[in-house]
Amino acid sequence: MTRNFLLSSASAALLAASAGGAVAAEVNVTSLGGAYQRSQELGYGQAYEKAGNKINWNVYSGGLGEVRSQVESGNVIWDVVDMNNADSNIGCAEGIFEKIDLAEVTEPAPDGAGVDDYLIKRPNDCAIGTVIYSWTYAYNKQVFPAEKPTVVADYFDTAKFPGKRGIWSSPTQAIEMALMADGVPTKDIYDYLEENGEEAVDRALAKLKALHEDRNGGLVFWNGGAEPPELLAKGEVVMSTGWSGRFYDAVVKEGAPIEQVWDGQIMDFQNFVVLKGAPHLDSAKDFLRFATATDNIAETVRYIPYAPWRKSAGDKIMANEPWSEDGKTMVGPYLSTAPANMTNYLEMGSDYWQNHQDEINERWIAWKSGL
Amino acid sequence: MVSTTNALTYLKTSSWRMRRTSVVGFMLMAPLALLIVLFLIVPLVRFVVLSVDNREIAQALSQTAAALETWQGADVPGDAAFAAFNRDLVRETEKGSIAKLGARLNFFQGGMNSLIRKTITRSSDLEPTRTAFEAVDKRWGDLKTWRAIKLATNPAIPEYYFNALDLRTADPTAMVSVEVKPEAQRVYMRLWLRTILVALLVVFVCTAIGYPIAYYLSNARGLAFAVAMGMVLLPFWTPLLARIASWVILLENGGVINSVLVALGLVDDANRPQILHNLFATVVVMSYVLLPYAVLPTYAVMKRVQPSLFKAALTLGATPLRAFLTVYLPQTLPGVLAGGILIFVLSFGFYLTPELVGGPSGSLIGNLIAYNFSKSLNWGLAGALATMLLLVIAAAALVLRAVSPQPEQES
Amino acid sequence: MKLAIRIWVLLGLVFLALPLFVIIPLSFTAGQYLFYTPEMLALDPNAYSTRWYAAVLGDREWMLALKNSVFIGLSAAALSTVLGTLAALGLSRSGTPLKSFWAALILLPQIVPIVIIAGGLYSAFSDLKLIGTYTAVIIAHTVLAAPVAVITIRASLQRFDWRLVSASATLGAGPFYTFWNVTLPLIRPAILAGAIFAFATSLDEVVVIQFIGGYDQKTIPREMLIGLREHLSPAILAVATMLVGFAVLILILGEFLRRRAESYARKST
Repeated sequence: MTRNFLLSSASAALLAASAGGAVAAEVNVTSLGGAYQRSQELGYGQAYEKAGNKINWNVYSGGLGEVRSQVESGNVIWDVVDMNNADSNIGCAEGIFEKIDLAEVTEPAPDGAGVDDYLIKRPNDCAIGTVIYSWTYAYNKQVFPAEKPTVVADYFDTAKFPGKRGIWSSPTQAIEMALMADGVPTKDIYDYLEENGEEAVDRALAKLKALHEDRNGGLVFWNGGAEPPELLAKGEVVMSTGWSGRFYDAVVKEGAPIEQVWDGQIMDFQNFVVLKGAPHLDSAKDFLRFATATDNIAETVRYIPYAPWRKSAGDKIMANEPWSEDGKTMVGPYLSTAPANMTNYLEMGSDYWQNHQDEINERWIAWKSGL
Repeated sequence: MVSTTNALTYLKTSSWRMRRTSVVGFMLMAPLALLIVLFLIVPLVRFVVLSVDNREIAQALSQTAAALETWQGADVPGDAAFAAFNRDLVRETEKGSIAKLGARLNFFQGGMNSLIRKTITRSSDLEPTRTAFEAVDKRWGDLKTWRAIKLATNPAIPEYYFNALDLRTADPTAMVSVEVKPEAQRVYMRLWLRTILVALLVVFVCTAIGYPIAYYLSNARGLAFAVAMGMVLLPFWTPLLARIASWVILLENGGVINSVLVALGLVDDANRPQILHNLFATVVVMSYVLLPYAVLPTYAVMKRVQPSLFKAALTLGATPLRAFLTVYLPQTLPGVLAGGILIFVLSFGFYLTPELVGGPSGSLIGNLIAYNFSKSLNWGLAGALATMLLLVIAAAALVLRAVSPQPEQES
Repeated sequence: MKLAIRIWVLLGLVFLALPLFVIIPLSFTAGQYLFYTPEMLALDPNAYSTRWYAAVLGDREWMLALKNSVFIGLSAAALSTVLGTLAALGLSRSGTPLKSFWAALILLPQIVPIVIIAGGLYSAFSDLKLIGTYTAVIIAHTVLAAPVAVITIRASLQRFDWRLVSASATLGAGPFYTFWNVTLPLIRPAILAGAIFAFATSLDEVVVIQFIGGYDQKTIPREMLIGLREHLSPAILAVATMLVGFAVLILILGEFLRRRAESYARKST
């Protein structure tokens, strides 16, 4: 009896899967952990598995190191990897990702739009755009009950806002923020960096070093995206850089006393790429088509307020607010693209980072070891 | 005559027996020895080779190498070198190994990787002249770029060892020409010194805490002994990550230790000292992890010390301190030294603990090996650092063997 | 003076035991974060719960990690014990040439820094195209765990009375018969202890698996590291507490077997 039931439900699942045009697939997906990865698992991961497929979720902390060594040594064990524009550009140029025909993995929008549904220009022939997020900073409200940090320079102002600061253990965002606070106009940051080369980087690092050595300051480095809200909630730091959705998650879900500062936010674009020689190439494409479908990518926004690249998904969310897990929070104001959050913003300089990442990383390691 | 024959037969059998015994002994060890040779020794040898090996890149730059053969290194080379380099670029692009070339060149001069990447996107319509290259990126007119390329045309290079000591080749056209890297690029000397300092501090802390514990253990009996020994051994058998996580909870700003200090009024709530994510945390947690290694060898030696000698010194009128310093300490010193050197050796290679509690000021050479190996994929530099680290450890291990107490022979 | 030494000893022992006293209560937090809330310090029963234990036991990833840890640990322990027993026997035979050289070679995995071993194993297995396979992880853990087994078994063999073997041979028994019926029964407790310590070594290994393991080989320490870095939650403390309990069991069992091995050896003398 039980066995019959199991058999019939298994075949029903199979039928459902084949009816949906999908074949039972297994795919290894590597993402960035924490609330972000949870949004992917709940947004479409579970639905994809319900359709008879299997996803092996992996966590990594970004960067191309692991990806490069997998491809170069011919030991590719990941299929799909989540990364931003700059990294996907580098990897695609190096030939370590599969080139993917965007149309082939784009499920048409309800209005029939295909690749035109993407609001943002594709950075390269390998990347499949997913969502937009921001590099911001946040502070602990309880520590500063009176005057609150409002602009990017306040992150460096230890006289007004004494206490330790959390900062990412890689140079992205830190360099830009330091220069903004040091008086370089936001929109000119990357031009300034391009023109002044090492000198500009040194200026930023000097500013950060001063913050670290300040008696009322001090830097605490974080690795994983879940750390900044944790550091803030525990009182380890009074301010921390971080990813916008992670702060939202701590505030809305856990009621943490955290407030985000959008001034000087750096808007960044996230993609999926498929590694060259991926063990499940066809399944990976099938997964990408599923994950980026209008309804599915929109579903992730319920769990983390990152605006989808696809116009149809954004429209769906706006038309159905409050679009959040708790059913009452409006997500619109938390998106990187909300007009109120874009009064002083910078678009992540993918070209700059693509071209200078290697030497800045080297300089950063030396700088950090001397702290 | 008969006796001679007997003796001969005996000799024959015995040598046959001995040979058989040694063959059997060897056969018994061979499987494990083979496993260790294959998966530990061979990779280590490979690390050593990698730390000087540049054949692949020299091969990829063969045309350039020929063109730069007589280059004096004083000024950016002429169009012939650009043309040769362009031919190498085109060939490597077709072979699909251009990314590797860029990545390896980047180790000689930061930024070469992106420079190559930028250049190859135009290499099909690029004129092989200096003017054209400089139009793509002004760095092609920079002497530094060409010195890096010249350096990379050698099949064997000491450069990674130089880098591991914050040095670099000044003039790649000279036989030997070394200079110190500019201040802003120095990393490794600082890390070597810090690693030595931390190892010494950890040895000191472990000995200072471990010696009295060992003394106590050597005198304790019954339940007191069992409890104390259990406390010494328990951390040994607690998962390493659990121990590290617990120290994070103890040391953080709002952590147990700071909270206790504040509650006792020893520390101002607003000015809690930073005791996590720095050198202090690295030393404390490493000492904790390695403390049993200080206690156990010292304890083993103390067990064998004759208490009567110490008592005799006291009876003869020596003060307890003097009796301790002249009688007990010298007798137990081999145990202290053995434990100390073992801890020194082990702490030299620490990686996970500093990674998780040390922050930038508490990270050690092991962390940089991991960084170069798996993040920046600079296996040459990782190999050079690993080789140097192993040499230090081998030296310490030899000292350890010389001073370590010989195991008691069973009668 | 005596009192000062006693206090110093006591402080040293507290230093050793402190971390365990910290993680065990915190693993029963009802909260979300890895620190003691004021309610917990006030011993409010509502601040304590077993939610993180339930969360771990009901989590697919943790259960997968447990399965992997057990499978990899048992395989590596089995291999280590077989190879380690043979090697320990070889090292204990009087006629074996270059004994100290072989002993040093076999103990090398204990001395070489783990990050260098991990790098070396990565390069070896990537040539063999075995990165992300159980084969690679089990071999790697055997390299690390076998020395532990050798040390344990060799210690018992050093106390072993070889006259028993000679006696057996004199009475006409072949070497295999002697091994099965004389040597093995006497050193069996030591072999078992070696196996347990080898298993524990594999169970606690976190760096090498990080370098050479794939998703399929996700083990408990690896999941804990992800937990420490990415999803900071008291779940890792619940796992840690369970592992400590397990380790204490292993410690007691291993110690019991070692003692038995010793008393066997003594009896045989």
